[in-house]
Amino acid sequence: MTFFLTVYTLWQRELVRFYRVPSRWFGAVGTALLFWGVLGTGIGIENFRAYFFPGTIVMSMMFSCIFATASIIEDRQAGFLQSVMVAPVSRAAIVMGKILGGATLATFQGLLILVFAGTVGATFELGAFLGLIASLFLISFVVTAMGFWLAWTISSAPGFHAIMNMILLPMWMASGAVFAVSSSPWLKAFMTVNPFTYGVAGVRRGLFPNAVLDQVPGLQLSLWVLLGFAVFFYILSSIVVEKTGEKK
Amino acid sequence: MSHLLEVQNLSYQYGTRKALQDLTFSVEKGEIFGFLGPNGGGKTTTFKILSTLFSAQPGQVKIFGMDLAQDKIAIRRRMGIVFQLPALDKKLKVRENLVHQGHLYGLSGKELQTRIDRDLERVGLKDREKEKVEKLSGGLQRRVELAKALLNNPELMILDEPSTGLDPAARKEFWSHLENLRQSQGMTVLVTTHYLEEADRCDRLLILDKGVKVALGKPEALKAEIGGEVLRLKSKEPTVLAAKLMEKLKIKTQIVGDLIQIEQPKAYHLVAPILEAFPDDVLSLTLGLPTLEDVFIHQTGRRFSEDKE
Repeated sequence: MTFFLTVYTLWQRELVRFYRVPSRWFGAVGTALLFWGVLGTGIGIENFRAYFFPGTIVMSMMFSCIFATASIIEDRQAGFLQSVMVAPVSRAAIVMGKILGGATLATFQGLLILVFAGTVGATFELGAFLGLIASLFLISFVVTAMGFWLAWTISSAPGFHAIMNMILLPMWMASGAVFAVSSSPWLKAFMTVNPFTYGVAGVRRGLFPNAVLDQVPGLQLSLWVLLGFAVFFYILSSIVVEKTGEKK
Repeated sequence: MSHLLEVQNLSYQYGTRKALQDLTFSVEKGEIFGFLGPNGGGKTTTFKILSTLFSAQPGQVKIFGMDLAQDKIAIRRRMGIVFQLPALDKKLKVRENLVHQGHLYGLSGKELQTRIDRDLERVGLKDREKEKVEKLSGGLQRRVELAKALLNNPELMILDEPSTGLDPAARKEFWSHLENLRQSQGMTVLVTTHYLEEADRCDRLLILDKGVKVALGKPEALKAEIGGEVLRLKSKEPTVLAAKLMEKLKIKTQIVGDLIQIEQPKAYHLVAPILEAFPDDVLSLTLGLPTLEDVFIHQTGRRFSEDKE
């Protein structure tokens, strides 16, 4: 029972903190919309704004994840996480609470972009829409868990931002968000093992359930792959936290 | 009867730097036990090990008769911990912080609410519970930390430099809260400090320097070891004057920084002879009862404050 109480309390704290700092509402969503507006208009290919739309949602989600995990560094050195670390609770519960909180917020911030879905000709179908939410949530979980792991390992805020940007931006770019396929074999290989590919695919299939999308992974496959990545990074984060303070 | 806390041959290294060396001591139930030392002395490392953040190796730590290396979770349940840096969520209200803390200790529902009321009452913050922590002064925030650490009815409270950054009035108040709790709950308190006034309020004191135990005992006993009074002379050339004092008056001295220090019973008898013999060498002279600072100097040959940041 303490496991769930711990997860719940840490998850809830994330939501309240978000709600108390209104500027965070704009950061992630605003940046992604700017990208969408500028790139979508500037790149004059037909229907590019519609093509780029799922990537925009994922981008908004991604910025939100970076915000959520960057706070871990300070919180751990001079903040609430200090007490959490000496509380009689399992490390796995701490990690789950924090990641679930970050992933919930990121999903929500990705969904805010949907306000503009009507302008790109998206169709609403309940099943597809639920698939979209599930994909978005799972990719949020993956990115937050990755961020958690990096934040815990790096423990310096500027270093964390540098590394996160270096890793996440290429992952996002090579996910099918900006271009569908590449003739370069190594890029193709990278796209196949990139969790973002499956996140963007799930969102795209959710938005355009009736479109013919040959080169995009299917929804079911995407969900399974994302789930795998989520479990992997969750375990990885739990292990680093478990090892904190241990001496070899 | 076994001790509440038992530490045996505890050492800790950061890379090659030895932060703690072969520390052995024990603490009894109901004591206020202090760790005094300059920064870098090993206080914070000791705190981190005792608060279960670092694993102790080599060495053994027993708390409540349990081995810290094996029964971490069981020990954590019975401890309250106050960190040197704030461990509150400043965007949350006072009461919200306590609710989260309670959940982490498996408390919920009515029981939790009752305990929160009780502890806010104890630290005198019941009327501020709906305010965000960031709106409170430093002294009040410290009291929230204390209330938070009390929620699980700890038998042992560990505090790391809890009054750093507080003004003297707030510091005094914080300590009177601690003393009340010890008296009313029989709680054992471990506290690290580099303030001499705080160290004086402890029942027993462990003085740490460079990771080594330099003294352990009641503050009065430690001071009594020095005996008599302490006479300090300021001089332009302390080494020269020290040599002269030895030669002419047969007075044993110790040079500490730019001061000459004389520790002996009835040191006040020396004031007139010294001033008569060396009127030009002595710039100033102070005479006082030994303080904990003198204890530190006596043990290490250095001034306590020199090592401060």
